[in-house]
Amino acid sequence: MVNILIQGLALSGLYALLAVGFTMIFSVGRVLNLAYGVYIMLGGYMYYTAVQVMGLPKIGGFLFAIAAGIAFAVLTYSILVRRLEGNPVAVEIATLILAVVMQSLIILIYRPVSKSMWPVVQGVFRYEGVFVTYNLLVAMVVSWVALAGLLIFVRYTRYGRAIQAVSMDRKGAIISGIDPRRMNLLTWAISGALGALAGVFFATYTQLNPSMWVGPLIVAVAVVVVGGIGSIVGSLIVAHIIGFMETFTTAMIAAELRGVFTMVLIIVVLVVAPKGLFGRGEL
Amino acid sequence: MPKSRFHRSLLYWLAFGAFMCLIPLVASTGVVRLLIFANFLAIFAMSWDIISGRTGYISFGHPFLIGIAGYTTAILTRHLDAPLFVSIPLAVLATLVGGTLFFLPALRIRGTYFALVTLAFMELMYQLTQVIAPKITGGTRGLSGLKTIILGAVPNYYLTFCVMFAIAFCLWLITRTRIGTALAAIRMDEEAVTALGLSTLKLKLFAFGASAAVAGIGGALYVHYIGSIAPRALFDINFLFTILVAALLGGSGTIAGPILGAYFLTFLLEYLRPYLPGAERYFIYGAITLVVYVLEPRGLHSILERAYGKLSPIVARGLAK
Amino acid sequence: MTALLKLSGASKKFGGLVAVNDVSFGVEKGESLGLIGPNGAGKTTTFSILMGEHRPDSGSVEFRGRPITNVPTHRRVQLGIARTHQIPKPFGGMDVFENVRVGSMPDSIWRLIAEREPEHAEWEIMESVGFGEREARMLPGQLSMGELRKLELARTLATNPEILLLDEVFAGLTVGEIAQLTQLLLERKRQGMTYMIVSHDLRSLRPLVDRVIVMSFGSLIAEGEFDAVMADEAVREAYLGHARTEERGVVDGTA
Repeated sequence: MVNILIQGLALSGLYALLAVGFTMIFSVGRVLNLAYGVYIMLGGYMYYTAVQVMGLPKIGGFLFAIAAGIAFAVLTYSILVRRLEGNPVAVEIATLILAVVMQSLIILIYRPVSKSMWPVVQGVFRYEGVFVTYNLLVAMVVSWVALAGLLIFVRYTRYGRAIQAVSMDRKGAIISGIDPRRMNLLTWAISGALGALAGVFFATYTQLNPSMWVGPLIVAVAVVVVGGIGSIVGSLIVAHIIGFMETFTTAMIAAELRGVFTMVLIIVVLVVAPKGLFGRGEL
Repeated sequence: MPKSRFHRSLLYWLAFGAFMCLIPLVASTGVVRLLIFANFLAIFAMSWDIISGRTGYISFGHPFLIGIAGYTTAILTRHLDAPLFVSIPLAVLATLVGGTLFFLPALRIRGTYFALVTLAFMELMYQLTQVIAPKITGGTRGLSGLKTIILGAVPNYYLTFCVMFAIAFCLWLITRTRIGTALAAIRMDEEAVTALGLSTLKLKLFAFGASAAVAGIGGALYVHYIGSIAPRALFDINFLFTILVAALLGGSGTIAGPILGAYFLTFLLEYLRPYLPGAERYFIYGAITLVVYVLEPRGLHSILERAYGKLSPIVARGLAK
Repeated sequence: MTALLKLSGASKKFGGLVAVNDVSFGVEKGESLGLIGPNGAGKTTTFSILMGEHRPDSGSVEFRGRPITNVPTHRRVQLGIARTHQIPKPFGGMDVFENVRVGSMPDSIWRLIAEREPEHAEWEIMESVGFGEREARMLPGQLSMGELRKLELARTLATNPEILLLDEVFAGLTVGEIAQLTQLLLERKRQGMTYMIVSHDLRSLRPLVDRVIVMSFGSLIAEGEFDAVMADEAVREAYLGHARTEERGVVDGTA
């Protein structure tokens, strides 16, 4: 039982990191970036290339992954999304198409077979029936650190508060001399970095394959939908609900059913309480 | 004036039908088989367009509808040995019921969220078919060795083309009446439609029903053409992607657009095969669609129409000389 | 005599703001009733309650003596109540004539598909608001504010209402356009149309209405003939008080 709790906690931490980049874009630009899963996939593949193919140290792998995430996110925004501004449905369609395009590009380069990644940290933590890989524990800690850093950035720095201003009231922000496009670009860059970082851990948790972007995207969607619009704290809570439910389902019922809960949650919440369970909170 | 326009459109339809009927006489079996897939894709793209292109409710879950039809008829024929003329109508009926389920979220949410719910429906179905009653659904591997309706490329071509043509023609007849305008009005401003005394519930239900019925017919026939069904082949983002891209590339909100897009994509796929044999061709697909979508959201149909508008006076002048 | 459209004891709160507070009035058949009051008095919310776009927290709406409080908006339109909006919202992708056509559509899928209705009823409405063949094929994006108001009116008239609720019909119009619109509305009134009109332009409103009611901060404060109401102390107070709040920059709460 304790084992399930610890496992759930660790997985939830990873999910929170997976979702937060997606939440940020939604809260600042009011668009759902369905290409977000690609940042996660890109993070995993770039780390793999740097560490397991080119033999760079792990830190180099992380830098490589995060740089790729940022670059791709910035490109997505400035080439595609900016042109479709003001039409969230068009953004949703275009980013979904982009995601499939990137998936095929990955297949083109890395072949369609799954690849397994070495864990970032080797070994398994064992203590009185508790059983978690160090890798997942590290992922959880990294996730907490990243999220804490993000909260501090958003609350206490000039750029962070400007981003917050745009997410609350775009027109008001413009009047106060904030350029929402620059803030959007910054948000997309952060989102790309967070996605890629989460992607490295997610890929070591599961494995690398060209359709690995779908699962995390659905988790991210669920977190945004259930947590309400752009609330970081709400997202954290929902990430934990989903993480624990998946761990419970895997342990108690059947591993194949673990995704079902997430899907049912999305459908039920959207139909019953379209504004999310936690409403629109502070970023 | 409107009467002559109607007659001219009718003439186009006839010409298109006649041309397509002649193709098997000259084309190779390979091309004919390719066209069969194009016909199916056109049916699915038209089905998607009835909801999404007309009323603006973007569906990311069309494979869900197609899958309901496919699984219904596959299970009925496989396990109960039902004849096709029973199982296929039942499959369409089941899809209509499924389509209503699909419709429920549309009562409360719209825009980006509606698309998400439909996507969740599709993924849910993918996971459930593998876990729930694998003895009946065949689990992850699906069902194979299903009955076929007729054998041979050419008969199947005529069958699929006739079905596709009939659906397209009916949809054209329906959407050129006032209901086409009413559905477009929903896309533009749903509150205003209500304020003009129309029940948007009724109109949306009609659009969803029509879309589900078309998806059902297409899905049931498709399964009996390829002879097998599996969750990964159906409830997949790539399949959704192909449908979406066909409709968007051709031009949503029209009848000719999705057909045009489906044929274009199928032939593009064939010509890319020597260079890009696998799933990589989605790269080209998607890239082309993105470019077209960003530059002209109404697709190739609109681009061609404009080109025709520019060219026809020139041609007419040339002929006059 | 029972009123054609009657509101009894209606209240509506938005959060802490009482937009409409225990308001009752009736509109007689063939009558033209003006509804005036300073910004934020609850006029537009009152219209929304009458149309069923907002459900009142308490109170009831009756039409021809029958309660319609729980009847959805589109059914009310079918019964014969229609409104125009302060900000016209035409269907952007359709030309003017098609916009008007949507207004006259029957609420039946089968009839929409099977019937080929002649277009002369719509053309008559188009003509009555001053639209010709040229305007018919224009897109709403190409229209001026005055023309947009005319389109909104034409589209609403096409629903064939018995009572028409007009919200700020004169806003943004030129003097010539106001005169033209007044003629049109008076002509319709002679044919038996019932009106309820919200306007800030009191001078333009005066020749149109038989009677006015005045709202302030959600409550009904006066009722009677135009000139008598204008002389009323409470009304003057409300308007002057309003002028003062506007100077202080208080923003309109209901719009």
